[in-house]
Amino acid sequence: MRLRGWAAPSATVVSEGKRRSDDDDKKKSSTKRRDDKSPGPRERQKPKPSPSKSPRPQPSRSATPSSQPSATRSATPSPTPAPGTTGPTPTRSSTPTPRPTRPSPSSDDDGEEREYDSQADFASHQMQQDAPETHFLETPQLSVDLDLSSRDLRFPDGAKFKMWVFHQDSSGRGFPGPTLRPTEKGIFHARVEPSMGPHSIHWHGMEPDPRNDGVGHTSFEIDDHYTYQWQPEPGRTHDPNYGAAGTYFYHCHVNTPLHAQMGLLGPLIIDPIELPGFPVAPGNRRAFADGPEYDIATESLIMPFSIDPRWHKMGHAAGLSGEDVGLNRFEPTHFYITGGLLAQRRETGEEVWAPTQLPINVSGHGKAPSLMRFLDGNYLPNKITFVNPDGTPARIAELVSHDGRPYRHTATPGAPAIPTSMHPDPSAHLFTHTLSMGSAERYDLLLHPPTAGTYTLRIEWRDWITGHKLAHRELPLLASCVLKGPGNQTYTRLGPQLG
Amino acid sequence: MSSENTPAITPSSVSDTDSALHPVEPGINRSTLLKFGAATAWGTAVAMGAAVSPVSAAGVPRAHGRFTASAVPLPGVLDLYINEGYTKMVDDSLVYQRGFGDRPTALRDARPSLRVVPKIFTREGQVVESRTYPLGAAIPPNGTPAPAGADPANPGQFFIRRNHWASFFPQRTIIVESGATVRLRVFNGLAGTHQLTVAQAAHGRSDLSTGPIAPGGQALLEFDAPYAGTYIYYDPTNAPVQRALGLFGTILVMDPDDPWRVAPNQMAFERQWLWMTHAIDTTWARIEAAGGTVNPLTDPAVPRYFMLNDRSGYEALGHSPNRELNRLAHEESLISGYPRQVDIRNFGEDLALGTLRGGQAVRMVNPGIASHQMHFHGNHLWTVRRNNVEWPREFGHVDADGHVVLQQWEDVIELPPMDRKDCIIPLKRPPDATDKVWYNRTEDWKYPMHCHAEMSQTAAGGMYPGGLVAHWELKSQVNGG
Ligand SMILES: [Cu+2]
Ligand SMILES: [Cu+2]
Repeated sequence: MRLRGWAAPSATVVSEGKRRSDDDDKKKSSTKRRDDKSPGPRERQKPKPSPSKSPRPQPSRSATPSSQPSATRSATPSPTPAPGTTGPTPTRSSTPTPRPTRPSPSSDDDGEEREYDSQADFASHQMQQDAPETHFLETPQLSVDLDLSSRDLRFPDGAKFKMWVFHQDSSGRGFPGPTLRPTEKGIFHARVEPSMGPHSIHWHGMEPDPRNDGVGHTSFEIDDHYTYQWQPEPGRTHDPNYGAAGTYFYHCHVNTPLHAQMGLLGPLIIDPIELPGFPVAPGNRRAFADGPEYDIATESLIMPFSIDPRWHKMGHAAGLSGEDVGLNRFEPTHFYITGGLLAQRRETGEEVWAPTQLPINVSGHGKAPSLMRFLDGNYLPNKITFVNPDGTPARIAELVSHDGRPYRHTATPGAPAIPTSMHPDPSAHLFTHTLSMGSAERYDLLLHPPTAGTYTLRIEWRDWITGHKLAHRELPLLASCVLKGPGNQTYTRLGPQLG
Repeated sequence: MSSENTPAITPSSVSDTDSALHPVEPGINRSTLLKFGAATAWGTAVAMGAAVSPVSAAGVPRAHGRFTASAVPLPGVLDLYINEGYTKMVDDSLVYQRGFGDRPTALRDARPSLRVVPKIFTREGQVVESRTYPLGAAIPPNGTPAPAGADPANPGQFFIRRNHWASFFPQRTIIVESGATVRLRVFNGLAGTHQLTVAQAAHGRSDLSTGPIAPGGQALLEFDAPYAGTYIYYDPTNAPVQRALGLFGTILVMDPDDPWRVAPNQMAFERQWLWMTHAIDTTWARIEAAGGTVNPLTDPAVPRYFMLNDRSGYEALGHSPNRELNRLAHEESLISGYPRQVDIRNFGEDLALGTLRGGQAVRMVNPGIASHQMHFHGNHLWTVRRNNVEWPREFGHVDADGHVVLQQWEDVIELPPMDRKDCIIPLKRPPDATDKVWYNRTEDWKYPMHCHAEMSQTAAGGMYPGGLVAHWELKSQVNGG
């Protein structure tokens, strides 16, 4: 384990592009290009003190507030010992007396981390490891390989932006990253070999141990490769304390403001195990183990995403050495509804996955309802509204889960915690025509349009400070009783809108 | 920010002698117990504006340094001084801020008093200075409550002590015990008019306010403790500008008979954490420091620093070279505890005598100007209430705004400006770690908490993670291995 410095302040667009032109080939070769990587700590730029534009106070006494950054100490990071290559030593887990935490001001709690001289020192010296070991590796039920690439992708309005995208060997180089779909209880592996400098993957909402959580300052960033391992907790009947099934996403957690906006994210859906007493009809799935069934063919993921073109011209370590690159200013000019029918997604080519319209099932005509998995994929609050064919608010959305956890009745200790969506009393169900959320929240909605026709999903973006509306986009929802199969082009034109 | 529901301002009900500022003799130390016995007989909230202020009456344009010494304390009264000064950001730059402080300080004071050291209004009528509450409860070392013992049925997990540990509170906290009377005397040492408003603290959830306080003037505000929960006190002048400059804090109302609960009959907790978020726009600060007035419409805010309990980045995470600062971060912000088996249907269960099956309470308060998205790694949080309104545990609904009103798990907690949420972090075994990894754990497990409106993760335009961040930690029985 070692600490490594990031490259010098943001590379220019040109050099970024050049460096990435061959990124797809790199991992095939045994000699991974080191010049892509950050230089060692000795070469790192001394963080620039940010000049204060505020007038300095004139201290009246000797108790001067330290108005100067403290001098950078030796640039050599204190090496931290690697954990044993065989993993942690097993201990008796039933050790009777815990050792209480001692207040130990001399070291941070785990004793492994050093203190940092400055925020720039901390930002540019996140823990990085070449090829950390996966502790207690098990046989996976689902295993994926993920790398990343830089691509100029065309969005539905015709605008082109440089995007960094996660992809598999077999997939295209599109946005968002490949849809990952493990099932509860199964061991999941993701081998990540980032071609372009240190990256990580955080499985947002999944809760493994810190090594598999994908954050530099609580574990490590990956220089060469690492296999993430976790196991989605299986659900239990009417138990509000267990179960992972639901909607998540994964994203890079390195210089996150920039890397997630550049496109390093993708959908992550955890499917439920099948519980006794909760059989599933053909063509259906359950939203969670003791939850409602939905129609697989019309299951969708909808993700608002917005783009500030200025951000797409930066180098991947932009700002980390202390330079002001304006990552506190997210001023998007392009607003998109991305996603579409999950069963129809083609992860080929270099395209932005975006719907032009969405088929949904009319309520009560023999088909299970359609499930919409909604994710606020940008940094701004979204307010969504469902609208009837006649323009009035459509109270057709039933919220069943949020952030990967079902809504349940939990009033009585020890009593079954019935999901609101499974409750015999209709007033328990969480129906709405509108929903407000902010960055990274997820909501799973069952749609219950009463009649056939074209409904509308309207998505508004709001300023994160003033709350003022910035933009809105609309998506037609085509409600039908006799939805045809996947070949029905009327309902499945979901590819990118080129030009 | 309306003050239409504020109590009548009756300057004539206060005599001039009450308002006179008497220098405190050197050597009088107000920093410990402020025990004044029974309160004086103020019937209602009273304020003194320009009419009785000698300074403003004399037309002195600026009042910097006007209050060169603290006023003579009054029994059962907390004095707050509206001060200005420069505070150090995480990149060592100095930014002009205002605040409600403990003592009068001048603009150029090297250590301006911009945040009150935590105070407690007791039911007995005292004002006590204390960073921990309940008074007399055990102090958790480094902020971490130690468990009662191992939970034999659940390897790697522990029984939690019930009604035992005190909690640390950050600067700007004023704790009010239910049944107590709050008496604030606010001195305006600045050149402009300011006021102190307590949002939604009056009956009917209307605001309480001193009304405008002229430069050099003072005001008294008295009110009974509102219902248990968190209330933002702030200056609503030219909203949100004065608040954004630092004129805010939190009043936390607790029931002293049952101080380990979020509210009466609500969730019990092991200890609690009060998190205040704040975003600083240096352009706004410069304009106001130069005597100008920010127009929030023509000068829209572009915050450059993002704070959790007035710290950000590596200072908020306890990784700075300043050990004192790191210690405060651990005690006040960085959630920690031992893992325990919980059932959210029954937080607070008496599993065995003196133990608790519950988590820790996180009270999030956003007096700032940015809409935050508080994301926890490692555990979902159970959200119990918003703005002191309990969410039901059954038969919830979606409100007109499109927010679900029902107790629920969340990994991102929405916290728009002026909002408060009370949540329970269960400190449970991270559910998606494999059995082998969990049962062989030998280290503390540390997880990030950060705002997912990622602009807030920067300082001075970059230096990720330099903004609104924290950690939380699942302690291990073989600590420090
Ligand atoms: Cu995330
Ligand atoms: Cu995160």
